[in-house]
Amino acid sequence: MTPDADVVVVGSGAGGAPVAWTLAEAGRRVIVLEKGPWLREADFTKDEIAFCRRPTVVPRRHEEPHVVEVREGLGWTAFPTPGTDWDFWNGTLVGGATNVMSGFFLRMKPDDFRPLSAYGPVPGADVVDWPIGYDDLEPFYARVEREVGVSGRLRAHRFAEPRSTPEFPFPPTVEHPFASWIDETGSKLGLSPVPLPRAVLARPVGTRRGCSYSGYCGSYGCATGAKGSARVALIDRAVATGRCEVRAHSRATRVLTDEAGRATGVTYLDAQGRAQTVTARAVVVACQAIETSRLLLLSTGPKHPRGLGNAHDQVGRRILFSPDGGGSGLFPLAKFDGDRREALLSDATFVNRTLQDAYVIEDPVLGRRKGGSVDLLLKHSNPIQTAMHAARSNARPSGAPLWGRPLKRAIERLFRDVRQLRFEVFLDWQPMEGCRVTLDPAVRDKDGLPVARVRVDSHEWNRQTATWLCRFGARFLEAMGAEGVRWAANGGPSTNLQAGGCRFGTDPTTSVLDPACRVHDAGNVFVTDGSFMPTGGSVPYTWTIYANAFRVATHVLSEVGGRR
Amino acid sequence: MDDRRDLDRRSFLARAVGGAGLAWLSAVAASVRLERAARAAPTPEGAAPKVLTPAEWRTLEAAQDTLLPSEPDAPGARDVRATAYLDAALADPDTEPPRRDLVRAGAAALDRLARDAGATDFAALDEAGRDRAVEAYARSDEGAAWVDATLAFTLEAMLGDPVHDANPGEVGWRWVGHVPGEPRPARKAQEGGR
Repeated sequence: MTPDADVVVVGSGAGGAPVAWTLAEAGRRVIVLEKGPWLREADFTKDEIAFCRRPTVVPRRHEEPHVVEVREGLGWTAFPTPGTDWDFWNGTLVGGATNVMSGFFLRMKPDDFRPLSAYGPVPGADVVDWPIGYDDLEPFYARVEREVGVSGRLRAHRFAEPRSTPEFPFPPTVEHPFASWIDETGSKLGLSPVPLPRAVLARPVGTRRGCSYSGYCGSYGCATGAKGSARVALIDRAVATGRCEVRAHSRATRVLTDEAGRATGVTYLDAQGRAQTVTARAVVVACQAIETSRLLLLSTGPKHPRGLGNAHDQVGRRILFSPDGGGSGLFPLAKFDGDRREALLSDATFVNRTLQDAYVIEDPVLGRRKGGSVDLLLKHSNPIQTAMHAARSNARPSGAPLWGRPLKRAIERLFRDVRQLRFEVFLDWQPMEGCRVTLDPAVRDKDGLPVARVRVDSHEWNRQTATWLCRFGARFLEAMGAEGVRWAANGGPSTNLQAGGCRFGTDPTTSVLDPACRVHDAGNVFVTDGSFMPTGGSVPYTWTIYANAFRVATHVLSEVGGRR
Repeated sequence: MDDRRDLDRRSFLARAVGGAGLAWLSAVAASVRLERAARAAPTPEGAAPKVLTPAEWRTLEAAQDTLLPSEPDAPGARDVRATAYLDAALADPDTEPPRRDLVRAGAAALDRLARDAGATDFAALDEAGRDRAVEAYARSDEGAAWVDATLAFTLEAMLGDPVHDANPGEVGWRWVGHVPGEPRPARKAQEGGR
């Protein structure tokens, strides 16, 4: 029987879209299953309530919860996400979370591919060298620059990674006056602030318009197509070939496998909740790390009684996040006049500076260890979020936010009297065998399927290193002249940066995927989101996920017979 | 990625509602039925409440006035019809049952504190009495989470796009000098976006 497609791809974000585009462009038929809606430029307004405060581009947590397990005393405590601030959904729509990313694009560095050799073991963590090196991925980083659209400009610095091309293919976005101020401070301190490469086009390219500098980028879909979402950059082009069909509102429930253990297709629920099946010669899973592990665990079959690829109890292990950490400082407008004051008030442009001088740190107590990136950015323009920040950052000892007339004065000050510059840190989340996704034994989603239970096991290293980097960021803000500098690093996870769970490697007993990101014991199933990563590097994951998905797409193409 | 990492918030909310979290899974259907039964008398503004009982409305209106008081030069909850907004938000299927239940539980808790102080209910207290009651409630984990949740809905009513029946005449944006981003919504995204 002829299958419905050469390849079925589950998920249309940074992991799925490069495969859909590569295969469709090569003459192969692709069906993409996307759980969420297909929104387009015209749908993306700057409506804070809709896009930042309601589940418009993510599932309702009370219909599709996760269960979180965190340490309490000597044991663990578990609770479902609704009603808490825990949310592992990041963008459930065609193009995935790339629609709502800020587009901070940084490459991993050569030593990030060999952390064990470069930095040594971390006791209690499961650090390994990757089965591929930076050189294997570099051509695909370069390809993402062209195909997704990365804008920026190079500046030499101590930890700059080698490149195969001399410059970024697209010119940088317009910079906020804070950028030159940061550069001056950097010179004074002997540091080299890096112009931040960004998946945002400053000028029109093809059907995509350039950035409109609305001042609302992260958390919002892009109304011009300037942001390099997987949707505008890849899915739309794949569909235009006539060989890629996107099925929105399609919730994958199981990867089907035969007696030999190979995949035959995927079952899913359509918009009306009806069960459907799509058959294909290869299956690609890219649902973002937590949901990918969940789908594999749900996909039992004759040769996969414990879940697809889970013969050695490896699926869902070593989930990675990025340890939370960040801070802020205030610049009172009364201290500035004329043009400088006007410039400070501007919201619309990008600060676009990252400090990577502490990518490796030398500390008398912590020793030599991997550090990370410190990104500098404006406080978000969102007014409700800003007002809540005024309340929460002046919280009572019980944790209750400020209220009443004192709150109104704090809100007025934050909006009118000061400019806030923030920083956030990106660093490795130490891989832990027990930091893992399993199927919850009790809680089910609206379709009756077990939800993912996420045990968040954060190594003490995470908090220590995030703290070090926050102190570094805070000192930088103070050197700029910021007042009221404060920071926080608790070692908890940033739920919007997810990877791991199906690490790649050469040993099937300690990894889920082979170096081509093929499930070890199911030769025509590939995982192309961030799940493959054994360690995270000290940068946001998106560029690496895009690049690796392009790399794996060449293997998927070979699996179904190559170009035609 | 910047604005989704709200460091101010995570720990106490998780603590406050984590323990009771599983109960809502089975209680959802029952509470929806109860709500429908409770809809009855018109609000002071004439419209029928969607979720709140008249007593809850009265208490929460007074509580929102305490959280975000109206002043001659700076609008407060009363100026933006914050209780009607809150009631509509609690009725929205996008709002999570635990958050809705928390807001309503706070109304009952504040009334209890008011009765302990000798008043018939929270709204019957004078301004100082209301402050003391909220202050006392906020010392508990539940009370702290209630202040956070109720304040968030109240600030949405003050600073959200008017397409959501919030911020009438952009009074909240004018108060703080906020310039909204473009493009602005012509309708609620939730109605057509799913």
